[in-house]
Amino acid sequence: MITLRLIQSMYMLVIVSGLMVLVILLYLRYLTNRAFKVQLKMVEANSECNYDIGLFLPRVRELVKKAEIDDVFYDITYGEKVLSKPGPGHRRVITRKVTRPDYSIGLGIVTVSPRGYQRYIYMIIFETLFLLIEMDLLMKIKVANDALYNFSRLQTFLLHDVKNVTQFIKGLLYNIARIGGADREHRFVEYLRESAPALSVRTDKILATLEMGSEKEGDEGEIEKVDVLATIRELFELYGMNGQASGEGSVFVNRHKLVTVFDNIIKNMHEKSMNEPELECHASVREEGETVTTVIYDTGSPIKDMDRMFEPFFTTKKSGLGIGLFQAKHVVKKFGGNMTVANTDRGVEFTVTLMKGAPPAVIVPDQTL
Amino acid sequence: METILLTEDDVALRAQLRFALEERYEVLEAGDVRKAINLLGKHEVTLAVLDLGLPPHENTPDEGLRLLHYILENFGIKVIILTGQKTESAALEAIKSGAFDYLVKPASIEQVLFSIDRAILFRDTERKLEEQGLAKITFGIEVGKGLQPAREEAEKNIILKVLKDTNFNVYKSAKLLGVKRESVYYFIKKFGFRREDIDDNA
Repeated sequence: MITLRLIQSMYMLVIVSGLMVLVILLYLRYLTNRAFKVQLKMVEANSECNYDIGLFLPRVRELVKKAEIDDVFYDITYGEKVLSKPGPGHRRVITRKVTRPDYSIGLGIVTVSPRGYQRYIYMIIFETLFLLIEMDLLMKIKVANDALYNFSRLQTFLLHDVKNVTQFIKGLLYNIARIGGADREHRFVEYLRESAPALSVRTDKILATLEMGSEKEGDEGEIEKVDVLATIRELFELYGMNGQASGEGSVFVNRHKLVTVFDNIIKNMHEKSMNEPELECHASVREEGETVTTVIYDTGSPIKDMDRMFEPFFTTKKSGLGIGLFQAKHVVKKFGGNMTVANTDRGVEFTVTLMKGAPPAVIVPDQTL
Repeated sequence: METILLTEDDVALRAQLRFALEERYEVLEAGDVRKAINLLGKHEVTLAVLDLGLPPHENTPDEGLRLLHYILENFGIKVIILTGQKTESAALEAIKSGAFDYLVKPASIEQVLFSIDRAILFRDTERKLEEQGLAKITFGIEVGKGLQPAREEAEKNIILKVLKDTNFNVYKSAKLLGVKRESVYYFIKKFGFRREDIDDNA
């Protein structure tokens, strides 16, 4: 009888214990789910704030409250900026401070009950928050550093050209005042004639670089009929390239922009020829229906990073800026055409396909007035 | 007439500089290092005006400095730098290497002409002094390191110059230096001078 009663009472105990374990498990599951939800919400909020910690941090407090975190405090420094929210001087806090060369992060949370399993939940949320803040900071610093670096490269590139143009003007002013007799005058004009194409290419390039990214839709500049073959031949002559250009084709585009496209290609080949003196450069132009296709190729070594050729600020040259080909492709696309590059059996080959276009509409003055 | 080698990659600017110079000097033009070296080999160039930012690296002074070293080592003529490279390191490197002047673009043509006149004057005066047995020897030394390295460098340069002038004749060198022949042998060994090195640089 006693044994039977004992079994009956044990049975009840097992049932009660089982129920208790189940309740605890459900509670833990609830806590874990709540923590995961808070984590997810934080990641989403960070993304909505465009990874700007200045916007993200004020939103964090409300989000973590759902995980029984009373408050969040911080002291973050990067560049000249300081983001600070002082701590409450409370005992139930989890804190960490990290100092790196470009930034420092001090972060703390005030918890409701930092004991047992709940402490792990707090730690998971805390670590996620810390990681998001550090990631935002690193991203911001990298973007700023990259922008500054690229800006300084762009400035160096433009300075070189602008200084040369200014020096040219100084020379011009000096010489104009001292031309002298007819023979010198004739030579002066001859020099100017020789200089004009180079000067035009240089100023076009400066303009195209400064205008890059700021062009307005429909603002293509002055449209005129441009003989593609003649343009390429002029550039071949300017850079003293060994090679032939053949075929025919004309397009209605902005001449200066088109010159920039071919100049960037041919100048690259010219620079390559400095290290590969045997290099030749050839071009062919052909009209096909509504398009004009130009193929320019060199007989030099292949390009290694072909996939990155049109990437802005990517360069294989020690002193290169990495915008020439990016700029060329950008202009061609604006013209409604396409530009590709490939390593072929005969060398590196650029193909530029342009729409023939149409002459600009002539505005006829109203004769009725 | 002086022959000036004008090395400048900008065609338009080069033409203006040429026009300004050619009334007084014979001007040879080069747009890159290869062409400049080619001209130096074919003509008796007496002075060089040199841009540092040359293709294929127009945005760094590397190509120009390479040409500067080549000219100074092989021809020993005065070189005036006319460049847009305003970096302190490029100017320091050019002057340390032995460039006569460093003009930053945009410079006035008067400045360029004045620098050329000074370079010619310096060269002629140095020649006159050399005829009188007074040679100008330049060498770089860190002042903070005391007198000993400066003394050694001066000693080395003087002996090297005399050896060059006498075509490595130890007897003549000793006479010119006012020392015993043994001392000249000692210095040759100490500084590791070799006849072929001196001949190559001559």
